[in-house]
Amino acid sequence: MPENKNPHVYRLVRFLPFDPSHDQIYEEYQVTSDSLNLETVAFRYVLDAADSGARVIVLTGDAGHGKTHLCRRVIESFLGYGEEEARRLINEACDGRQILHPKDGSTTAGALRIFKDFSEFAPEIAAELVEDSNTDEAVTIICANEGRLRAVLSSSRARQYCAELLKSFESSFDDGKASRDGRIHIVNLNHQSTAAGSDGQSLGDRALRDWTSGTRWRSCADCDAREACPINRNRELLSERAEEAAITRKAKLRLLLATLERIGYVITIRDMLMAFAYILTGGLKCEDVHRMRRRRKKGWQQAYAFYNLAFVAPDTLSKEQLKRLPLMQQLPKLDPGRRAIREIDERIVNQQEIFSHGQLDLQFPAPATSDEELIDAADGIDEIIGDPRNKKQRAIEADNVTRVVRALRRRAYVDGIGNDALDMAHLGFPYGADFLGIVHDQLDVPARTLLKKRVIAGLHHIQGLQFSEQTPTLHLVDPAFGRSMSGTAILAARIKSANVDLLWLSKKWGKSEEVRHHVKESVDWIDRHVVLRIVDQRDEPHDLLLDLMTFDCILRAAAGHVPTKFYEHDIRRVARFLGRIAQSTKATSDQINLIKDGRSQTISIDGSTIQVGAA
Amino acid sequence: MAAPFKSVQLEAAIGLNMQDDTTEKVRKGPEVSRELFGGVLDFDAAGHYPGLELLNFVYCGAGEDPLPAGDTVKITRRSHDFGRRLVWDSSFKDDPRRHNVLLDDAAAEETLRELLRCLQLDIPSGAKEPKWSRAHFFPYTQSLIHWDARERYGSIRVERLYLRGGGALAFKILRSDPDTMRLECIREGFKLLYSATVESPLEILAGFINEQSKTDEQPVVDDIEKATQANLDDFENVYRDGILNILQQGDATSVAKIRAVMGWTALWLVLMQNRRARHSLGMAESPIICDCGAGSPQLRRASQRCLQQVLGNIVGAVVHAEPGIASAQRNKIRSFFWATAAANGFLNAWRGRKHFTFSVDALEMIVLATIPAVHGMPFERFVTEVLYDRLGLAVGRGAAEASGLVNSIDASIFEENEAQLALQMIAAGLVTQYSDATRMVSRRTAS
Repeated sequence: MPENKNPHVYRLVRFLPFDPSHDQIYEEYQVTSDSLNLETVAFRYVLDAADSGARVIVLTGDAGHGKTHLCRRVIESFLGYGEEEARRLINEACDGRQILHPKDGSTTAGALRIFKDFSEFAPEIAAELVEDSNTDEAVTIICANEGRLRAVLSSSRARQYCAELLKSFESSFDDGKASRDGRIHIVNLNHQSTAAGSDGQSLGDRALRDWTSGTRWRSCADCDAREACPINRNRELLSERAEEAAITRKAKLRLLLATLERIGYVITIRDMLMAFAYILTGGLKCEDVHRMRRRRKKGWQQAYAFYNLAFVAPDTLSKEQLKRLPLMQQLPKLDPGRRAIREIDERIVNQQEIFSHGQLDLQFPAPATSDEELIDAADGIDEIIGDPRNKKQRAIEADNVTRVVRALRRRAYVDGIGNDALDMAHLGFPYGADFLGIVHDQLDVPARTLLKKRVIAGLHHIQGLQFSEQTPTLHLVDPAFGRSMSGTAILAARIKSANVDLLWLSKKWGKSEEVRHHVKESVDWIDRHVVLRIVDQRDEPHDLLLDLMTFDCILRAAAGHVPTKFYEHDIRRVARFLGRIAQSTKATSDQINLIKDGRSQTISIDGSTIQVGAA
Repeated sequence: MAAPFKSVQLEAAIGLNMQDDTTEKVRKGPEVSRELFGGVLDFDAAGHYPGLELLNFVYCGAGEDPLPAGDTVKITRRSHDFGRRLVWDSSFKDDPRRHNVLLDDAAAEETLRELLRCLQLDIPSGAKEPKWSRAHFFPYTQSLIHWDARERYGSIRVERLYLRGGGALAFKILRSDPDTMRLECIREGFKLLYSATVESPLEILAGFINEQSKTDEQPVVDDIEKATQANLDDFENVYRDGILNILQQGDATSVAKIRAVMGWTALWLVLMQNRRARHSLGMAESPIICDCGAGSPQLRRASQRCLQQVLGNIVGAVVHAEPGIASAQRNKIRSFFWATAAANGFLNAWRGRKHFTFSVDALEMIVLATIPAVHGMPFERFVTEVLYDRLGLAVGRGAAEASGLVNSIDASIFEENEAQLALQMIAAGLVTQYSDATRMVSRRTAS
C-alpha cells in the first residue's frame, strides 16, 4: 500500500499560526475551494437588520470573531455577489469611503457602506468618516474591536452621531438590547459563543463535523500508515460515523469551551478553528507521520491523541510555537488529567475493560525494564509498576504512571465514563454543576432555595461571619469589618432570603421572545454569568455578575474554606459589592446589632453607659 | 520599632525649644528633615501614620473648614483612650469606667473588646500584642479619628508619639494650594468623604467611645504644622491632583476612599523623599525600578540595587545638609522611606532583602488617585504617562528607554515586566482587556 498525503490534513495545518503558509486564518487570503462557511446567528441578525431599515450595524469584538468574514457573506447575500467577487470587494472597497451597490441584475435594492477595520485609521479620521456616513441611504456596517470603537466614538472629532452610537453601545451592556430603536444595531461578537446550542449545533460541533466528514479523509483509506496514524485516529475518535462515542466526545469538548468562556475567556472563531486544527493534527503533516512511524519507538502516537494535545504539548512543538495558539494557553488550566476523582480513578486504574484493548491512543511505550514493547493503558497501570532499585528508576516509574493516569483521566472525561454531574469537577469546578443548574434553568424551587442558602453562607464567610447554624437571612456587616476574620462585626443590614435571588444573565434582561432586539437573538449565545440580585431595605435591586470562578469561590466559602490568595480578586469584588449595599442602608435606631461567635447581639447606649445583650 | 521618645526629648528633637544662638550647633534630625523635605519624616512615624495624621488635621480642626487658610491651625485632639485601653491595656481592669460605663459587665467588655480589636490600624512590624499607646484605630468613620496619647503620672496625656509630621506636611500642601479651584474641590471632597457613614452604627459606637475618652478641652495650635513648608516644587501638585481624584470617585465606598487617601499620602511622601534627596545632592531625576514579578533575576537585582541607591541618596542628602548629625537620627530619616513603602505595598516585604513592587492594594490606590472616575485610560498610557512621567516609576519598555535603563538591562525584560503588571491588574479587576491591542485601566471594572 502507498504512503498517501491527504490534502485535507495540509489544509488543517494551514490553520496553525506556526505553519509557514497559515493562510487559512485570515479571510482576505482564503480561496473559495477552501473556505469554511459557518452560519452564525450574527450573520442572520445582520441580514435581517439590513433588510428592515437599519441605518448602521456595528460589529464589535476581538480580532478573530469573523467580522470580515461576516461582511463578505453579507455582501454575497444582501447585494447578490459571488464569493470571489465579494472577497475582492472586501479587499478593495470596504474602507468606508465607497458605497457598495447591488450586483447588476440582482433583485435587491439596498446598498452597503462597510468599514472593514477601524484600526486602519486614526481615531479622529475614523470619527469623521462615521459622521459623514450618516448622510446617505446606504446601510453602514462598522467593524471594530471594542477598545478601538470606544476610542473612535469618543475622539475629539466625534459629534452627535458618534455620541448616539456610543450611547447605544454602552447601553447594550446594561439593558441587553442589540438595538433600542431599530436604526442603530450593536452586534457584540464578544458575546458570541463557540459552544452555544445543543445536539451538535454549536459552531464548534459544526466545524468539527465538517472537518471529520468522510469525503475529506477518503485518501487515507488505502494509506499504508492508516493504522499507525494519530491524525486518522483523532478523526475516528471525533467522527460519529466512525465511532458512536464521538457524539459524547464532542459534547465534552463543547463543555470544555463553554467552561472557558464562563470563566471570562473570550474564544473567537479563529481561536477555535486554530485549536481544532491543532488537536486533530498536533501540527503533524502526512509525511511527518510516515517518517515518525518508521523511526520512532512504538507508542509515540498517544501524545497526539486529541484529548492529550488539548492539555499537553507533544515534544515536536516548542513552547514558543504553542504560544501562538491562544486557546492552548488557557485549556491546560482545565486539564481533567490533573484532578483525582476517586470514583473515576478506581475505575480506570483497577477495573478492566473500561476501554477496549488495542486502541492506538492508549498504547504507551513500555519502560526499559519491561520485556514488552508496548503497554496498553486499557489494562490500567499494573504493567508499568516494576521493581525500581534506585531513585532514578523510581522517578522514571512515577513519571510513567503519572503520564498514563493523566491520559486515562482525560480519556475518561471525553468518553463520559463517570456521572455527568462529575463533569465540572473533572474540570476543576466542584460547584460547577450548580452554576449550570442555574443557567440552564434546571433547578426546581426546593433546589433553588437550598442553593440560595449555600450562597448566603458563602457571602457570610467572605465577610468573616460564622454562624453556629445555617441561616437563610443574609447578614451584611459594616464595610469597616469587611476584611476582618475574627468573627465579630457590626451588622449594617439583614436581608431576608426572598430578597436574594440568583438569575441567569439573559433572564435579567427579559425573555428573548418578548424583548425586541434581545442580545440573545443577535449572536450564538450562552449564559456566562449568574446574576446575584440583592434587594435592599429600600427595595432597590443591586446586581453582581458572577462568572463561574466567582460562583465557585462563593460556594467553596460556603463549604468552610476558600483559598484567599488564589481568589483574592473575586473575594474583593464580592466584598466591595456587599459593602456598597451595607453602606447604603441607614441605622434605624440607636441599637447596634452585631455578630459575635455566630450569635446575634445588640449594643444599647443609654446616656453614658453601654450594655450588650442577646438580640 | 524604637520606643517612643520621652516628651522632653521629643520636644527638643522636633526643635521647638531650640534657641539656636550658636551657629556651630549640630541640628537634629527633624530640623534637617524639614530643610530637605519640607516636613518631619521619621522612622517612628512611618507606615500608615502620615495618613492618620492628615485626617486628624482635616477633621479635628477648630473650625468647619477642613482645609483652613492662615499660618497656624488649631485642632482638637482626641485620645480614644477608653476604647484603646479597653482593648490593649491589661491594667484597664482598674479603670473606674469599667463600672461607670460598662456597669462591670465582663461579657459586654469582652464583646466590645473583640469588636474594637477588628478596627486596629495595621502595624506591619508588630508580631506581639502592642501597648495601647502603640495601637490606633483605623479611621473608618469620622469619630474613629484620633491622636496619639499615653498615660503619664496616672493621667492621660494627648501628645505626639507616632504622628510626627508627615501628615502635617501633606495637610500643609493641601491647604496651601495656589490653585483655588482645586483647593475648593478638595475641601468639598473631604466634607463629603464621611457623609455616607454619618448615621452608621459604627459611627454611633465610635462617637460614644470618643465621649468617654480624653480630648482637648480647647483647640490647640499645632507647631509642627506651622513650621512645615509647602509649595517647594511642582511634585506637590501630583499629590493634590491625586487626593482630588480619590475624593471625586463617586462609585467607590468611603472605606475604599479613606484607604486610598492614606495610601496615596504615604506613597507620595516616599516618592517626594527620593526626589528631594536627589535634588539636594544635585542629581538628575532617575526612576525607581519596579519588579512586577515576571521572574527576571536581572530586574530583581536592579530593583534591589535601586532601593539601596535611594536609601543611600537620602543618607547622603542628610549628611550633606548636616555633616555632624548623629547616625541614629540619620537612619531614622532614611528608614522612613523603606518602612512607609513596605507598609503600603510598595516594597515586597517588611523584613529581608527588599525590592520595589506593587501590592494589589497599592495598585488600587494608584488607580483611584490617577484615573478619573468617569473615563478609563489605555494601559500603555497608564504605564508611561502615570507611572513613569508623573510618579517616576519604571515598569515598561517605554520608561526604560526614556530613562536609559535599556543600556544596562535588556528591553525585553521590561516588556515582560509590563505584561506581568497588566496580568496582575486584570486579575485585580483594574484593567479590562478588550483585545490584544486595547487594554483600559479603570476602577469601574473592579466593581
